[in-house]
Amino acid sequence: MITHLKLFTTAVKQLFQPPLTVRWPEERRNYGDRMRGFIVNDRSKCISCQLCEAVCPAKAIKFHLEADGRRYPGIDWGRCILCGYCVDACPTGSLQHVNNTEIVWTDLDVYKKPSEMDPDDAAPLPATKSLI
Amino acid sequence: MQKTEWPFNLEVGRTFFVQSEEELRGGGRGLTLVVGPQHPGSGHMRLFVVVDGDIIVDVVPDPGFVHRGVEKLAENRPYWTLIPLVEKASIMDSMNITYPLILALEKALGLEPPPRAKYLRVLMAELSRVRTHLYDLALLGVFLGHTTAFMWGFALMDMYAEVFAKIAGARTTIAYPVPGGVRRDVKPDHVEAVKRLLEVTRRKLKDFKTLFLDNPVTKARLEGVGIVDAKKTAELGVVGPFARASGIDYDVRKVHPYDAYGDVDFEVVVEKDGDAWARTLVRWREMYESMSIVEQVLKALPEGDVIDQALLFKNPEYRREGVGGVLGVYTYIYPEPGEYLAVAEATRGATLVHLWATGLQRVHRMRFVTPSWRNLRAMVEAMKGGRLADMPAVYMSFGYFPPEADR
Ligand code: SF4
Ligand code: SF4
Repeated sequence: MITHLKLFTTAVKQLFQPPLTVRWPEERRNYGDRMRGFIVNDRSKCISCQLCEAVCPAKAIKFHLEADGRRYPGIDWGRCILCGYCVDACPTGSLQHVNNTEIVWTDLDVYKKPSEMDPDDAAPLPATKSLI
Repeated sequence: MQKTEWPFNLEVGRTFFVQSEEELRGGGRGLTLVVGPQHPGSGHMRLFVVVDGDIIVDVVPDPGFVHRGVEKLAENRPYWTLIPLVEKASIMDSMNITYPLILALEKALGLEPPPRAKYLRVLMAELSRVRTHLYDLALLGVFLGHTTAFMWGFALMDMYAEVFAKIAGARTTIAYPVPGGVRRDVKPDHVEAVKRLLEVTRRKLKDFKTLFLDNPVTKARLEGVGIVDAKKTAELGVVGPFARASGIDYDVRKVHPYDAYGDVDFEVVVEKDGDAWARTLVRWREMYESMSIVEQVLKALPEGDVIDQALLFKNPEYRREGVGGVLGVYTYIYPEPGEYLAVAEATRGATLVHLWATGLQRVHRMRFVTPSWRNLRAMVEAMKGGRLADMPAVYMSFGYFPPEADR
């Protein structure tokens, strides 16, 4: 009887706790600034050293020739596991994660083709709710 | 009753489509039931259960539905890419499951992590241990029909996910350690977050206990169910909390302390009974031990680098603020030829990695033994002789995780 009473009071106590659920997209979880979201490349810093391609565990990075005659890394998002090894390997810091994991492709061909993320598409989203 | 060979006497591909009722008969009065491989009920695996009435006479497990060939895949890629590969075996427990690989690679490359990195690894390993135990207990709850325990376990677990994301950058597959150190240092606000996390966990676990462990129904469902005694446990090679629940006092962290485990003080939790209740209690008490280890680590956290000087010396440019940033250095260091063996205590038991290095960056062979695989036989033995209704309780009391077992 005592146990059941305790069970009941514990359950009732929860009614007065703030909810843990997140009302997406009005609210978003705050994962801090290290969250390994999508990756953008700052071309002014990139030295085309290809280290990012060499360390990638998923073989997701392919280099493509651009109009300025240099090669830049493009990421195949169908392969990328967002491990962040390329970002850690990049000697100039030109590859960076953005705090955004919510990007949708409507065209599978674009999604599969190694490409650079448009920094506008990958702009960080407001993160408001922390559980901790 | 004689043991049945069904369904292994049928050709492949026919086992799934039972043509007539005779095929289902396991011989004698038995009836063969197929449990799984749908996810709710048995995880990604199938059990052929022969029942007589509602007593389980025989169980034939059919694992391998989520086999990804980690060992074979490892033969064809450079050693540093094995970390994200191996951690996928147990994504919640990614720090612990990659631990033996990291230790073996460090031996092969001749690297030694600085003290701060060792402490940070232990910190993350113990947080993952609490998190994985919460996950397993939540699933045990829902297997018993206790949906509240499931919700509570997962909600608590998500707080750990948030702290992981803040420190390491990902909710689950953190790929945090690298040979020679860790990838990210912790900042003061991360330490605060971990402290808050422990405080919230302790507070919530008290209520969780009232709702789940102290609930008379939970105890009635688990006590005396699926007993495996100490002798059988040893014979079947059970590891981790499931061996400790049968009275076997063995923990790799105590027997062969690696990294900072020699410096922290903790107790190896042992229970005597060997039933599902004991296996639940061991894991419950281990969460408190892990939290005390985390507190000790935070208190004694040494200052300094988080990456071996030898790596930084090779190319100082790679060092960046708050980021290890050394991944590029691995592309020009090579493991010493030889065989390297390392064992670490993951949440569900001892994990082993055996590396054969030939001096190339691609290892010749990697043997990877995971705890769930070692515990499968004991789980099946524990089910025999019990009632069919107790099968889910026995299943999840072993914390069996098919992706980890099938790897
Ligand atoms: S590692 Fe960095 S600098 Fe080198 S090619 Fe890749 S993005 Fe450019
Ligand atoms: S995040 Fe990992 S998988 Fe994705 S491109 Fe970079 S190195 Fe490759």
